[in-house]
Amino acid sequence: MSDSLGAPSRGAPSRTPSYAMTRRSFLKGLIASGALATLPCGLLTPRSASAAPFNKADFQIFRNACPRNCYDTCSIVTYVKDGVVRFVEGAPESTFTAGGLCVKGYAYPRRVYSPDRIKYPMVQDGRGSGNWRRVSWDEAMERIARKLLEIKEKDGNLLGLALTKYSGNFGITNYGVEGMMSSLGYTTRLVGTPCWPAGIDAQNYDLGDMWCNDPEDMEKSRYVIIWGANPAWCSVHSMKYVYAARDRGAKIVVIDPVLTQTAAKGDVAWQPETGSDGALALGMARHVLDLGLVDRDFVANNAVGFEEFAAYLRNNVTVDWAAEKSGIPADEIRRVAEEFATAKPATIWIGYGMQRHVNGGAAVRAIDALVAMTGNVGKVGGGARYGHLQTWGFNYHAMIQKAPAGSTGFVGKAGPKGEFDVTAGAAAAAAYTDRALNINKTAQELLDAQNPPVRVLWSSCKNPFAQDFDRNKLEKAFNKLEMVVSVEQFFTETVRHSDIVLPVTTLFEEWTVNASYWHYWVSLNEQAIAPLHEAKSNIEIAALLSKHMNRLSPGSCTYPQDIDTKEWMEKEFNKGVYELLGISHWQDLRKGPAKAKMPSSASWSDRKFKTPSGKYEFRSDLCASHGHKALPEYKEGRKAYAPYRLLTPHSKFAIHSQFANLDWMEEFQKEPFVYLNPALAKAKGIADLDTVRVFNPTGEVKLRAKITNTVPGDCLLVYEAWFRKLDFNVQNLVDDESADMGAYKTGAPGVAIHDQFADVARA
Amino acid sequence: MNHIFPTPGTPRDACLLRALRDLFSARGADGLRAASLALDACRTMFGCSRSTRGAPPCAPSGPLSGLDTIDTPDHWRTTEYAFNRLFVGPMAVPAPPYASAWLETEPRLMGEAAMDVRNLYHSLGYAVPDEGATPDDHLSFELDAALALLALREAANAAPPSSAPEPSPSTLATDTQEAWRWLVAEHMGAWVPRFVQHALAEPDVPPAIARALAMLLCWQEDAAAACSTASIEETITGMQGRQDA
Repeated sequence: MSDSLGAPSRGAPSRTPSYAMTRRSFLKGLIASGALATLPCGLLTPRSASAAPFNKADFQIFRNACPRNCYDTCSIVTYVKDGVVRFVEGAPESTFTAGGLCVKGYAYPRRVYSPDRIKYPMVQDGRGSGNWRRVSWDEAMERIARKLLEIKEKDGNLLGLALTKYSGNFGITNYGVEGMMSSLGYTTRLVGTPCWPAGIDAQNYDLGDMWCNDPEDMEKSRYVIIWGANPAWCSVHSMKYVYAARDRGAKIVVIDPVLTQTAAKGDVAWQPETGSDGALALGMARHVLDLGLVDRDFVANNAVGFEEFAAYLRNNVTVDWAAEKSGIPADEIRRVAEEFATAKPATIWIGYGMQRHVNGGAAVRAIDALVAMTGNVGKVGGGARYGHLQTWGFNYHAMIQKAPAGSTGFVGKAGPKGEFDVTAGAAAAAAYTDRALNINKTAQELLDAQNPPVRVLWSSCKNPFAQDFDRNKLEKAFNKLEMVVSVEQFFTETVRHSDIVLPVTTLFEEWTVNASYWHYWVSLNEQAIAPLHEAKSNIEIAALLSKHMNRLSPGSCTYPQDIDTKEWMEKEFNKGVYELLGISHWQDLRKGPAKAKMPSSASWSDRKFKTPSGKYEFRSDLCASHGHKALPEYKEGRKAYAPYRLLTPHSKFAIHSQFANLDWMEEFQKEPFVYLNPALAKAKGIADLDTVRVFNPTGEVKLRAKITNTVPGDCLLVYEAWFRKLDFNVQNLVDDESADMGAYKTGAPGVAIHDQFADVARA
Repeated sequence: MNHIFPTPGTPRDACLLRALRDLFSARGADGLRAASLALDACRTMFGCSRSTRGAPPCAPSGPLSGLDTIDTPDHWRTTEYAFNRLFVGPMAVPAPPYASAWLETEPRLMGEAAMDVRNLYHSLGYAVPDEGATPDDHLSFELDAALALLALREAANAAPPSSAPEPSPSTLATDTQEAWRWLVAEHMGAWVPRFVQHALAEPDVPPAIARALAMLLCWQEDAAAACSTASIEETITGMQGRQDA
């Protein structure tokens, strides 16, 4: 007789019920642990370790595209067997993706099939209580519809409904979320972008558009400056072009306050004072001017205002001054400036981190000027590279929806609702508009909004609690909200602060199409598998909301109620896209991604700029009319309000708050650390792996410290990421101070993410 | 030759399987309540086989044992919240009720284990609803399949014995027994105990869920042990048969 739970009855064979592993998984476990190599067998011989031969015919193959906010927007080839995604590869047809993904991309199957994935619509009884109930989709949407009709009744309009959405999913049909908002009426939108707005405005003032060369032509450059970008981590596919340029004799200069992995691969690594980039660029420009290395033809015939800029340089800028501001030795500045000006062609890759400062836009203008005056604009292998939207000319059918008849809304000037807002022109003409709040000041805006206040927040393709600034303020702001709906795949901090969560599809579970803001390839995204559990795509959710709105109040929502993601993907294509890609039909993309056919790999190769003057504007009156300087003058950085600089750049193992929660990524990144220079650590009596507090007026975090020489002596570095198991976020420390530019083209100024300061002490 | 496979306590097994299936597939408080009451009714009706053999009872002892005397909406609502925290979400769950989450070297859904049970369901002429979207290896589906196999075994044993001198290997009874043994002893045996242990180790597991988990483990272990007993007897009978022939 057995006398304890789980022990076998007497007489039973050795197959014990509590033996946890099957034969098959036992073997797998042994192989995985490497134990097989160490078994002491003397007579038995190892069976050959070759894997079963791979037979492509066993799999269904689909085309997908990584829809994350990443330069590389990889074209993916997906292998499905028995309706399950087995593994993914990079598409070989794209010369940019070149058959490989990145460490995060290869983890996609972990994401789709994670046991942690949100499966069903759920309701939280008491926000933040942790008490969740499962509801049907109909119940969830009815609940939301009733609330929307309630606030519409109360306020006479739907301005009490706000949308916060950004770059969580760049599949074009996901602009259907904005479309859903429009189809309900005039609503409140968190507009702008935390990412790159200052630089976008700057490039628009200088050149008339943000439009970079094909990154694949970087291999033809003779001098590459990577300024405030870290492609070794954040655009791994671009590195091959950097290496190719170097192989052909180009010099690679990397400018970053931190000795990043990219800097470690450069020929020259400059670690300037954070935020001094404008001064550094102007110092280099002054030296180029002094040496007479200006491209006279360009500045005379293709530009306006150069003489004024030159006068400004002579009167206000010296190399010694730039050296003092930046901490880079003067003779180094001179040397690199001269090398840059004499290499033909030369290029500067302007990173987004570089412009996340109160003087970010001004810095980009100064760097643009350096590239322009040396004659590198419009040159293959040259250019001031930042980004582009050339391949984004879809119909935005999902986004463009009409407000229901009789809708009222905001009365006032309407700007663009973001860099991807194709409706901007039409909005200007309407009697009513959406109410725009600055996404970069979400907390403050939610607190301040009146007439009506924001009552309902819809969050999709965004994780405000992980990504928005001043987390303590955001907590207060959320307390004002009557209902929070988040559309998500995993239990983020935002979901924790929501009333309703709706499970959304991954890229493998919907049809869409994807472009990149860096390279020029466009990829089809086929639906490879059925949506897992009860997940729906954003547009299917919109259709279901419409159904419930109209059932309760006919005519209250114009969004179509029958959605097929494949049809809606098809509707995005137009003649312009087909011509640009050189395809006759979207079906051609099933064979692989297609590259835009541009007259040259160089942007502005015809030197027809889109500025008011039609020329490159060293002096931009438009810029001045918007409250900035007409010339790319030096602008002071933010004054420190705590002893050390706080930098919160991107990790290789996450795209903001995505991927960090997957087990494969947690292998590399188990917990957050604050990285300190040995000198700073010594001054504070902090040893490696000590638990410390990092604190400033905005808030505080507690984490362990790592000592490293790669971080400057006056900096604290914490990678921004979301950790599944920890209650941690850098946003406790980052306030919502605005960058100088961004309002012109994206509706709101950017945010000075890297102009933050903090102190540190042993905990 | 008569090959009678022992099927002790089949009505009890069926009662348990049905109630456990319904409990682990419950969508809310009402479903949990109904299934939990049904589970208690099984115990009342059939007793606990372990207590009759002197083994520890199926339910945890102490204040959690016995039938649920609290039957208020509040109580079941609390149970529902805990159920979701343990098994459903939206937060990451400590005890995902899917075989693949426990049998793969790295926890995931739709692993080999899911394909295994899918094949089993197919051989029964069944499939999970929305196959491809629904993980086949959710506990409730596996329990449903066990219920089906139980019924098949009953039917097979009730049929008159074959008149052939030796049974062909593909009789329904043999296949059903083999399928049952694989599902209950080998497959569920490989993951259910760990699943139950992890779930019970969580703080604040409500009594209804704790009881259900204990009874699930109890049932699985007993059924697996019975399979072992059955196969011993089968081997002995088979050997005897060959000696006789």
